[in-house]
Amino acid sequence: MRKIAGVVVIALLALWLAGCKQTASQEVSDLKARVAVLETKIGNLEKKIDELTQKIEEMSQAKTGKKSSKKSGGSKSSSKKNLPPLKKK
Amino acid sequence: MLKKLVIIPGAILAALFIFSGCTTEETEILPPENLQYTVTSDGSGLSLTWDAVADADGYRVYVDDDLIYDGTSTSYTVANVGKEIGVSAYKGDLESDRVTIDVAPVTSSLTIYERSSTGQSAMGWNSDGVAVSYSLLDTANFANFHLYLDDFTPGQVVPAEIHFVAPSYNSQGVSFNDIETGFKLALTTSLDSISIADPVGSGYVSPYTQDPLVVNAVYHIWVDTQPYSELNTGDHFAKVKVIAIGADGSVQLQCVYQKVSMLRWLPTP
Repeated sequence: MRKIAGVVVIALLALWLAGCKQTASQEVSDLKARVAVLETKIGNLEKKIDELTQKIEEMSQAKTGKKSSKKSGGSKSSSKKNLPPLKKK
Repeated sequence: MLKKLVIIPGAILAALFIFSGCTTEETEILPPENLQYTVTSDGSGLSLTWDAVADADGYRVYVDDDLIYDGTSTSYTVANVGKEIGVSAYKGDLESDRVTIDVAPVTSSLTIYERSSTGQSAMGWNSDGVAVSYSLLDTANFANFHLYLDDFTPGQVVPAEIHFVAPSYNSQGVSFNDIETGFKLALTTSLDSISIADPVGSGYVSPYTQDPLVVNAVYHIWVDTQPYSELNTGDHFAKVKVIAIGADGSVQLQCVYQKVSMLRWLPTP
């Protein structure tokens, strides 16, 4: 009789442990997904920082170029006397 | 008697564990349906919505296979520039197929000519996003012009004075159509380094480029339909690089065009 009771208890424990394992693996996969999202966000931020750094460098280069062209007399302006003024938008 | 006392409650408990404690194994979850998008008001992002999926624990949004959202909402605004947006539903370890939106820009090359030259001078992007050249005399296609070439010296070809010109302006007559294309010279000669066109209000000029075209110049292009100077449905963005300028007034261009109206995303390659 005791043997039967023991087997039943062990079987129940095994089932309970299986349930726990499933819950734990679900939580691990959720955490993994969240980590992936964070990694992507960090990657995007790094990309944006690189782009901005590059843009700043290009702008400073363009500024230097403009200054030197002014010093050398600048380029001839095109003859656009009869054209409408440029509209900035 | 004692046997019964042990076996019956044991069986009941086992049944409870099996049917409530343990989850039943599912083999499939359906992807979200009715995925819709709208472009954000400044053209920098896509606002997504989709229908809820029964039994889903949540949804994932991907941009070019990068996971950018994982949560329970059925809407998300994507600000990461990409070529393909994907949305899936998941339940536990099961994830559905992705439903996708193709937002890849279209790359094409063409050669057009200064208007006093013998070749075709106008160009426009067709519904597939491919650049197509037209003759300035092709009245049937006036509506398809997005820009043309002019050195503002009638009867002569002056390669050093060739400009992009919006078809809303014609220095030699009436306008070709009412598209007031805006041009903005990029601070780079690398077409691929531009992944998003500059926003409206950042210094696009119209109806012609401020300076004549030079080889390797890269332009942000805003196909600006009425009402002008604001972003509205029908407007499109492109980036264009001047590959070569010939003595005959030919201008070879590499074009990248975003088919989705108002969206400024132009990632390449």
